[in-house]
Amino acid sequence: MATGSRRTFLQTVVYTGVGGYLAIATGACRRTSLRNQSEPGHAFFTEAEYATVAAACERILPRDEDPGAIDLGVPVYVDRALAHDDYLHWADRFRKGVQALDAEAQSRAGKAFHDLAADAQDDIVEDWESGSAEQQEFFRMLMHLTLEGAFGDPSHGGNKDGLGWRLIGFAPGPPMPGMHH
Amino acid sequence: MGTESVDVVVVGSGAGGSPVALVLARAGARVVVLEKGRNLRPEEKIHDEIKVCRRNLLVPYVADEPHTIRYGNGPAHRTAEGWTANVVGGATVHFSGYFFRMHPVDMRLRTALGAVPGATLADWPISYDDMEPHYRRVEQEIGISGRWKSHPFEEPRSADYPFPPLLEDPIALKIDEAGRKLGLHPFPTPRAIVTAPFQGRAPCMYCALCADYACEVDAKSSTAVSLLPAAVATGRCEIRIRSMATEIPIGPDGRVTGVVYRDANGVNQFIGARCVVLACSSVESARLLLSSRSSRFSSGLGNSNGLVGKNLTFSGLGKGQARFDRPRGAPLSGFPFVQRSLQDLYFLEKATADGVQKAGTLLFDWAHPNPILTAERLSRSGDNIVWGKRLKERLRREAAGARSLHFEAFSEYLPTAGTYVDLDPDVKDRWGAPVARLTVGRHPLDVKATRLLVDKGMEVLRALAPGDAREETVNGATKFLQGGTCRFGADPATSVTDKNCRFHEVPNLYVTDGSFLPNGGGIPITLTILANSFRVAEHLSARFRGADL
Repeated sequence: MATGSRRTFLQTVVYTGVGGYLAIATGACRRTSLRNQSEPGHAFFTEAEYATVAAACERILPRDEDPGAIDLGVPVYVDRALAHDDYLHWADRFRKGVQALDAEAQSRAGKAFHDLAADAQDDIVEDWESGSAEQQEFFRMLMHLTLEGAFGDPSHGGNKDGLGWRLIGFAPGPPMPGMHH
Repeated sequence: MGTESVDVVVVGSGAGGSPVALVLARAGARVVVLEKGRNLRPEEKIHDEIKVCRRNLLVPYVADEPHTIRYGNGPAHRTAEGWTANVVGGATVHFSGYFFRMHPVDMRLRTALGAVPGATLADWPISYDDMEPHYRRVEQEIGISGRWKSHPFEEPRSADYPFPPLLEDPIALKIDEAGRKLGLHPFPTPRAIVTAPFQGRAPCMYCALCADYACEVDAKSSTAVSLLPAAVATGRCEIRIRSMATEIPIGPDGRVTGVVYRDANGVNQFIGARCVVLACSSVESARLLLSSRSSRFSSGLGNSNGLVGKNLTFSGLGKGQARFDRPRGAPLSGFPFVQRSLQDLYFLEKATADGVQKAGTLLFDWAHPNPILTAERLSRSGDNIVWGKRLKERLRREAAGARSLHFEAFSEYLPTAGTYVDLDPDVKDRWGAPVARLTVGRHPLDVKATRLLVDKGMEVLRALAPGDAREETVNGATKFLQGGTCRFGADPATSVTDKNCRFHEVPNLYVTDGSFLPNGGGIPITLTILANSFRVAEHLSARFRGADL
């Protein structure tokens, strides 16, 4: 059960049995509707923010011989998730983090984050992993959302065509006993 | 406040509440079950990990309704821990359905272990023989699969399981072989899952996504698909959803008058009752009692001796896993369930050098296939986060390229004076009511008992996968498995209810969730809660028929 202080700010994982769990976003709140700051085409992000988010997610799951985060539709998922009431508590903090990520890229290289080379992007993400409290928090939110987007149900916008599941060998739906081997 | 009144109000629709509702409705009583959650819609019985496991479909919103938890005298912090469910059927909707009975020794554990310093053990006021018919009844009524006479430590049974065990992966036979060589006795895990059609429910389709999810074919025997529909079919039982009990008022005659609850619109309502049965989990039943103060009961309803909320137990938890390679791209090999348990260490004839005599149950199965959870697990390596190219390689190698056999150790969580529920002095829920505060002070023997089980589990795993087995946890606890807080007993000075789970101080108030339990057993306790609820229900039914409710 992950209850260390570094994780509890994101969620409480309540262990239910054989690896089962119910993870509750502790800041979740479903009553207030979210003011949408996005531009046409996105549910939450501006076009510039979206490009940064896509590049950041791609660093968590980069394309190699298998699809990467962008191929899997992870940015689509993240955009929709943050427009969802269940992520209300994260929304502003995540957006601020995205803007700070761009500011960091500007100050280091005079470019937007998504215009940096992958190596330079990795350097920033790696620094943020153990950076200030805000940077660490953003990194953890990025991990959380990227993995949800890559391996969650495709109906939420990510895991395009179930390719994320194929990557980790998850077979949706019941297997048919006797058909294996 | 209206003037509606019924025979019996049951607070909670899970394992504790459903048998009472069914038996009393069948006996002719008018029953209302108050349930704070709602019914799942058919389209919500899906294996969408985001929607079901990560967005509060089945548990309360912590921002609205937190618990708080503290360890010893440490600071209390807000948590979701201690909530079991928020849905019609309670935690039986999302359970795995490991349906072990307790053993005869559990009902006289204080005598069997002697005085354990620091533990507040007590023998039960009833014996295993008093429970056995009700265990059998649960198994028959809701549908349990398992194999009788499959190991020497089995509890006495008067009937076979109504359904044969789930199909097993061939690795179960390897566990059997390894177990035999180690002098152990693996047996098929009894499950609250039907393996043949039953009362309009389909048999298991082997998706292996039992824990956390409602079963879309109703093969899993939650009360929402078994006991509750039967209760409603009598025409005398109503499940009133989105209705959160907030107070149990008491009349001048010392009897409770009914239940105050917050309805779906957030409006306080009152429903009168001749008898009130609490069954909303050990933690929340205690909170409800402690919140129901009156001039007669200034420290909480039925709490003159100060024992409401005390002697809280969970289940100790240990874990280990072993990795088995599989070729990339190959389909899952074999079957989704392993279905093996061990109770060789349930109760030892002689205590170990560490002083452990009661340990518990080991349960082996493939890792839960939840894909996001799997990826998150593999993104952690000790305290480090793995991401980027390394994460993808790890996912390919460990998730797609291997299968993980897990064991869980369910161990005795000794009751102590240091583990209890009270009302948080500072934190209130969204509606202004004090929340339940959990204080945890575990007995040092707990981790030794879990250690004993984990070491044995690791021996089995190492026999199967030498070099690729590792221990994960020895000091965990499963807070979904709650007991204590309204312990039953013969002596009103040392217990909260009598042997029929009727409050010593309040003649028409009962509690039928895990609250009555003096000890947790070292198994998942859901079957025992159901069986005890049937037992109490028969007592209540006799009183109802005798116009003595």
